[in-house]
Amino acid sequence: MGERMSYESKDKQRVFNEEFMPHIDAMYNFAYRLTLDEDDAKDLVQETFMKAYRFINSFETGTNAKAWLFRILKNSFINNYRKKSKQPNKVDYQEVESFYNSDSVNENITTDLRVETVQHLIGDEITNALNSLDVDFRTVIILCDLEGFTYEEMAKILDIPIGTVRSRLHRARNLLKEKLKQYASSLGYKDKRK
Amino acid sequence: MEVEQKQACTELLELVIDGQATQKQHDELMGHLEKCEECREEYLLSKSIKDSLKNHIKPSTSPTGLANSIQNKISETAFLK
Repeated sequence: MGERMSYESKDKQRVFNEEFMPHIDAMYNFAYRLTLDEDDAKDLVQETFMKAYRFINSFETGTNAKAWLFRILKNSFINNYRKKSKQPNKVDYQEVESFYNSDSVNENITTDLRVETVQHLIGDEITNALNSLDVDFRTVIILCDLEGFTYEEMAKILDIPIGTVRSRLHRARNLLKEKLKQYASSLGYKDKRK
Repeated sequence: MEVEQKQACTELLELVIDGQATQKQHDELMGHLEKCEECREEYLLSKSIKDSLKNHIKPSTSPTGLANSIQNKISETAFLK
């Protein structure tokens, strides 16, 4: 690739309107699922688009605008909200990294959650289970299962290697299964095999 | 099942569920699922959770006025330059 030309002012607006604005709904959904607050989500989206405009010269027309915008949004979220949050970051990365290599992968936590049970759960229960996960785990599920990003795109958005994307996703899914199992048993679904 | 084999199956299973497996990997998993009930159940459960997430957590549209407010700010920024 040769040197990237900087956009003329009118091109900037065109790129912004044609390539960035169509993703506003996806951006808002992502922001809301991260912050769990409508006003915070609006602010985060606004800030992301302003940054995207400011750094538009580092965006190459025709490349994956959605992933590029998600990356900016994720970084803004970390800068604004995680610092403010009194809650310490609960993800133990060491544990995440070593997950695939540990015996715990052999623990079959899935045997007492059944497909039928999952199918009976309603939207609120699924949403609550997802929202109860620590934000790092929630994020990989949102990006993969709700937004359909590839592992490679997720690695770019999150600035982590693909191997870490996969192990974090695996761990997140096991945690989600645990939550769904808790919901199911609190709601009185019986496991027929017991 | 051996830990190592189980781990390989789980990784393969996730690739297939996430639509990122090659045809060869896909066929390999499907062949294994025919023989292994444990993995078949895990596959069906993981798939049903992924489907539930997609079906129940519907994307909403961004709040009214947000797009306009962003575009106004951008126009101001562009004009000031």
